[in-house]
Amino acid sequence: MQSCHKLDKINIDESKEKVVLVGNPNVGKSIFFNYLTDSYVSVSNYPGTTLDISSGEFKDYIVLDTPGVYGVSSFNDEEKVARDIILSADIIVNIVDAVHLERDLFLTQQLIDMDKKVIVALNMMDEARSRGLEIDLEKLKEDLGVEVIPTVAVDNKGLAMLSDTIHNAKKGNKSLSSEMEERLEDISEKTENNADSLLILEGDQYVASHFNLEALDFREEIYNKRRNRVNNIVENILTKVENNNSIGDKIGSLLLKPLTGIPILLVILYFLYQFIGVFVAQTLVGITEETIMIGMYEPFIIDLVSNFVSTNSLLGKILIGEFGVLTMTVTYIFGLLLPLVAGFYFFLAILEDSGYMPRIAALVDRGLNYLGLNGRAIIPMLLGFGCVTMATVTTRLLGSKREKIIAIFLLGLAIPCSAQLGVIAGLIAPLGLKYFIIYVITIFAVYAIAGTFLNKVLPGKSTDLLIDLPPVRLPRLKNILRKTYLKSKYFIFEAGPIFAMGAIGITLLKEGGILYWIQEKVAPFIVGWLKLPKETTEAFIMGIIRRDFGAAGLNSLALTSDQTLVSLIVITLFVPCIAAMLVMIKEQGFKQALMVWLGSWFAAFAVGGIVALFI
Amino acid sequence: MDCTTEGKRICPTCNNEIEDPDILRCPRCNKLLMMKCSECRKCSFFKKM
Repeated sequence: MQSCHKLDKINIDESKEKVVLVGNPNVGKSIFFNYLTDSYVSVSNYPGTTLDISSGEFKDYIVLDTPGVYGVSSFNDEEKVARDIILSADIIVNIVDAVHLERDLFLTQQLIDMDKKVIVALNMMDEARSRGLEIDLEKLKEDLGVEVIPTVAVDNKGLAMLSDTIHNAKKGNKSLSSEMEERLEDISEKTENNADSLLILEGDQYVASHFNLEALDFREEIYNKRRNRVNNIVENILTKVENNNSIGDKIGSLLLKPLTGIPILLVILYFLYQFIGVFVAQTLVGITEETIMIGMYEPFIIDLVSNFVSTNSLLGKILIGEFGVLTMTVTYIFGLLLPLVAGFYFFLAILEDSGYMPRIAALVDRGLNYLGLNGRAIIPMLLGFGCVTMATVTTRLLGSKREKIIAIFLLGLAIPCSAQLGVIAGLIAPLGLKYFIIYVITIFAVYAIAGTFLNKVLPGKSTDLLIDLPPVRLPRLKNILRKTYLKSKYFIFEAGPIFAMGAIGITLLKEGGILYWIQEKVAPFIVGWLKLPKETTEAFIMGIIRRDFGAAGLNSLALTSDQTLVSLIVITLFVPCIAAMLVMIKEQGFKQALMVWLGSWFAAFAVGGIVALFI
Repeated sequence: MDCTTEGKRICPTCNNEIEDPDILRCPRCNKLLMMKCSECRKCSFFKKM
C-alpha cells in the first residue's frame, strides 16, 4: 500500500527521487533550498490549506521544502503538510540548529525512527562556537548513525559538501523500545512501511484513517523515550566552554544581579515612562487626538452626518454626540489608544526580543512572592501600564488560577494605564515633589497591602518561577515592528466594538436622565467624605467608562492642590474601564469580575477619604 | 502543588499534548511547560480529555 500523502495533487515528477528539507522553524531551510535548486523553483498550493510548497530540481532529484515543525504529527496545518511530504520522501536533509540541539534533535530522531534515509546539516555552527558550545561531530554521527555535515548557511559554508554527500543519506539508530518495535512490525504488515506505522503508533488519526486503522495511544511513551535518548546524545557530544567574556553574557549577568539589576531596571522603567507617559501620551497624542481627530476629523464627520440626521435626535447623539460612536469612540481608538498601545508594544517588543523580559521576571520574583505571585507576573503588570485590558488577557501566562485572581485584581485596582498616566502626570507635576511622593507612596501601599491580603486570604501559595533565560541580544527592527503591528491590530479589533457599546450605553444613560440622578445622589458623599466639589462626581462617572477619561475630566475643574491629590488617588484606584471589565468577565467569570469592580469602588473611596483626612 | 486535573496540558510552543502532570518540559520541543494547577480545566493552556 502507498504511503499516506497527497503529492499527486501538486505538480511533482513522481518518477524522480525526492529530497525533502526538514527542520524546526527558523533554522535556515530556505537558504539550503535556494542553494540546491538555484532558480529552478515552482510553488504550488497544498490542497486544503493556504500553504505553498516550493519544489525544484537538483541533479536527478526533486527537492521539496517543508514548513518548519518541531516534530512529525498533525497538530496544525503546517505539521500536516510537512508530515505528508516527509512520508513521501526518499531522502531527508534535516537542518538542525547547532545552538538548540536539545530541541532540534528530537525531530532528527523521529525521522530516523520513521526509517527514513537521513542526512543532517548542522547549521549555525558559527553561532554555536561564539557561545562557547563545542560539538563532537564524530560522536554525533556515531550516536545518530547518519552523516552529519557542519554548515553556516548564511555564509555559504558547508553547503557544497552537503550537496556532494546527499546520496550518502542512510537509515540511522532508532530510539524505540523492543516492545514498540514489535508493535511497529504488526502495523507495518498492513501499511507496508514503517514511517506511517510509527505515526499510527504515535496516535496520528489522519494517517491511521488512510489505512482504515485505529490510531494507537503510545505517543507520550514514545516521545518520552525519544526525549531521553536525545538528552543523552546531547550530554555526550556537547561541551559548554565558559565564555563569559562576550558583551551579551556580561550584560546578561549584570541584569540578573540585584545590586546592578535593580538600578538598571529602574532606569529602563524611567525611559519607559518618558517614552510612553511623556513622549507618546503627551506629545504624540497631542497631535493625533487634539490636532487630527478633534481638530480635523470630528468637525468633518459631524458636518457629514448632520446632513442626514438631526444632531438633537437620539440617533444623532448616539452617532455624533458628546459620547458619539463616530466622534468620541473613533477619536479615542485612533487618536488616543492606537498611539499609546503601539508605543507601548514597541517598547515591550524591544524588552522581549533583547532577552530582558525573563531577566526582569527572575529579578522581581522574590518581591512578587509576598503578593502571592511569581516573577512571571511582572509581564502582565508591565503591560498594565500600557493597557489594563490587554494585560488582563496576558494573565493566562500565569501558572494557577489563584495567581490570575491576584494579578487581575491588582491590575484592576492599582495599575494606571498609559493614557491615565499621561493625564495624571500632567495634573500632578505642577503640585510639586511633596504631592508626587504622597501619591506614589499611597498607590504603592494600596498595591502591596491588597496583594499581601489576597495572598493570606486565598488558599494555596505562589508557584515556583520556571523560566528559560535566552541570551541577551540586539533586537531586530523588522521583528519589533511586526510584533507591534500585530498586537496593536489585535487590540483595536478587540477593544473597538466594546468601546462603541460603552459609548452608546453612556449616551442612553445621559439622555434618560440617569446620569444626572446618580450625580445628585452621590454628591453628599463626594463633598462630605472626600472633601471634593460636587462637580467632581461627573468626572468619576465618566471614569466608569474609562479611568483616563475621568482623570481628564478633573483637568477642567478648579481644585486646590489637596483636592487634586485626593481626586487623582481616587481615579487611579477607581473601577477598571468597561473594556477591561468585559475581558475580566471573559477570563474569570462574572462573579469575580464583579468582586474586582466592587473592591475597586471601596478601595478608591476609602483610601481617598483617608488621605483627605490627613493632608 | 498536587495537580488533580483530568485535562491534558498543551505545549504553548509546539502544541504537543501532555498527559503526565509531572513532566516539566515538553518532550517534543523541550520548552518549559506551564505549571500545574489544581483548577487547570479552566485554564486556556489545558484541554479537557
